[in-house]
Amino acid sequence: MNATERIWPWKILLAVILILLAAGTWGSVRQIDYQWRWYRVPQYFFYLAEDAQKIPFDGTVSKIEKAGETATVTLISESSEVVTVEVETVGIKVSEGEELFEDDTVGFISEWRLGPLMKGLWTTIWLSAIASVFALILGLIAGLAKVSKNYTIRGLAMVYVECIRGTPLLVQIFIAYFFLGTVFDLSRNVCGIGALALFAGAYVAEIVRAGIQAIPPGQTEAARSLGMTMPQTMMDIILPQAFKKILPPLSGQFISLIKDSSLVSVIAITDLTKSGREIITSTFATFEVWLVVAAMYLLVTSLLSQVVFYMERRLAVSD
Amino acid sequence: MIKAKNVVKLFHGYGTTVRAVDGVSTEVERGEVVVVIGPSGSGKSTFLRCINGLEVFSEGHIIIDGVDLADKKTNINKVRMEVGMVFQQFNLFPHKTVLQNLTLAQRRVRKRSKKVAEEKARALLEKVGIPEKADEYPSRLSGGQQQRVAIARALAMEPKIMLFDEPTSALDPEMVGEVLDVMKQLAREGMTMVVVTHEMGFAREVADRVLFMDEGKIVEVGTPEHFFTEPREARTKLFLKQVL
Repeated sequence: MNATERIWPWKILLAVILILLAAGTWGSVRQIDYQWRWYRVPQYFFYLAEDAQKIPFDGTVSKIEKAGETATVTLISESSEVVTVEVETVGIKVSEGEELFEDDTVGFISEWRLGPLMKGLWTTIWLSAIASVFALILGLIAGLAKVSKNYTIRGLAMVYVECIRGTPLLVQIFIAYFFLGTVFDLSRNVCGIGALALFAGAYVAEIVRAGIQAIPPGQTEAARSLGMTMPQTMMDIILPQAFKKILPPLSGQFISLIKDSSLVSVIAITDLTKSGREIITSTFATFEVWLVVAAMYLLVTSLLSQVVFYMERRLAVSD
Repeated sequence: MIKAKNVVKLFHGYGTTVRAVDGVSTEVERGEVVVVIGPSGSGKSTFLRCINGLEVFSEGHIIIDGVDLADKKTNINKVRMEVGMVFQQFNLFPHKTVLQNLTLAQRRVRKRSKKVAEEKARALLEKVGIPEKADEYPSRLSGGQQQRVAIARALAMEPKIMLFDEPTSALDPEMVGEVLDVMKQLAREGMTMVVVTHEMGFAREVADRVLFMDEGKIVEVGTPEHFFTEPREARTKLFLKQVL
């Protein structure tokens, strides 16, 4: 084995394979004669909304003062009531002295708004964030319960983990919404977050248990021999060390949770996936939208990986 | 100070029961240094761990300063405040600096203020000869330094008794001396010590009394002179012949 093995041929090979894959995909798509409409996608991120400004009564336009891009229109009603309306100069619909009826359009004010993709992304993010927090709390409690000396507590945690890990998340979401949601009168968001948190919590519990058991027993013995109680030992000695060990699998679990959150679209929560489906029904740009949605998930998950990578390096100071 | 009465510790394996400590009775006076020697698997470490309740013994009594560990009402954490322990593998807290290792239990258990705890910690680091390492993490220290920190950590609780469980067995030979020096100094200052060790030189020089254990029982007790010059029991003679 040559210690100074050159890496650039392999880099080129990698690039060639990727390019071939892309070209192959492109060629196949051409065969089925699909009309790409990428230009339809950006408006679903941000769009310029035009709000019509209307006259609140029957009356006349007394004055139009144009000041650059905006104009101030002064309106007078038949009973001499005066109202001024600000509109954009470009789209002005009336002229001075014109008579108008109630709800006639005077002009427009346009404003950039978040499109369905951005709103869906935001829903996915906050849904996953809240579910993650609950999953962490649940997983911590269940993980500690799994290493408890008490048989009942251990048994409860075991039943929880086994039930959750043995059933599909999709079915759990249906149960949470159609069964528990109906019985306890819960909103769809609560059901969605609850199902995600319970699901991820079971996996976090196993990760936490493994992390705690990976700390040498000598650490507990040293702490206990100094007179520290078991809870103190857990909080000050075991959990901080375990946390460092479980950070990589834990972050993997949370990345999974973000991806699994796409399943809550089946109970009509408008997350990123559901937004994508809705956009397709109005644009028929199926290929473009799903590719964009996938890219947006990828962006969020890779950002999270980067944050965790940074945290790992920070925590490595005592190594 | 320590009174052990007929202590038995059983370990239950698959279908077998091992009598790791088998009816040990002894007393340790205040200020006395007792060294426990014996072949590996003789139960000496297990017996030591029974003294601060890290192992729960099956039968008998261990009475420390008038408190019986076998009594269910005894608060073991109170007892442990008075009984420091030093381990073979140091067991320093790797995620805390040396100073934090020394102050943590003082603050949590003795409820000392940060300032008082740190003063105490720095004084002890001075005593064990590594004041400059206060802000390092344990992984940056040599084995000998780590063990001295571990001794300082136990001393920070101001215990009345110190237990040493083979404190030099995991060290490189050249670092054994520095740890033994700290222990000798402690003995001179009048600390009550129970030391499980293979360091016969230390036993000979520092011990007031030597216990020889084999198969969970105390085989022979005596002063170092007695032990190393005219041992009575055949088992003791055999052991000493092999280690000396």
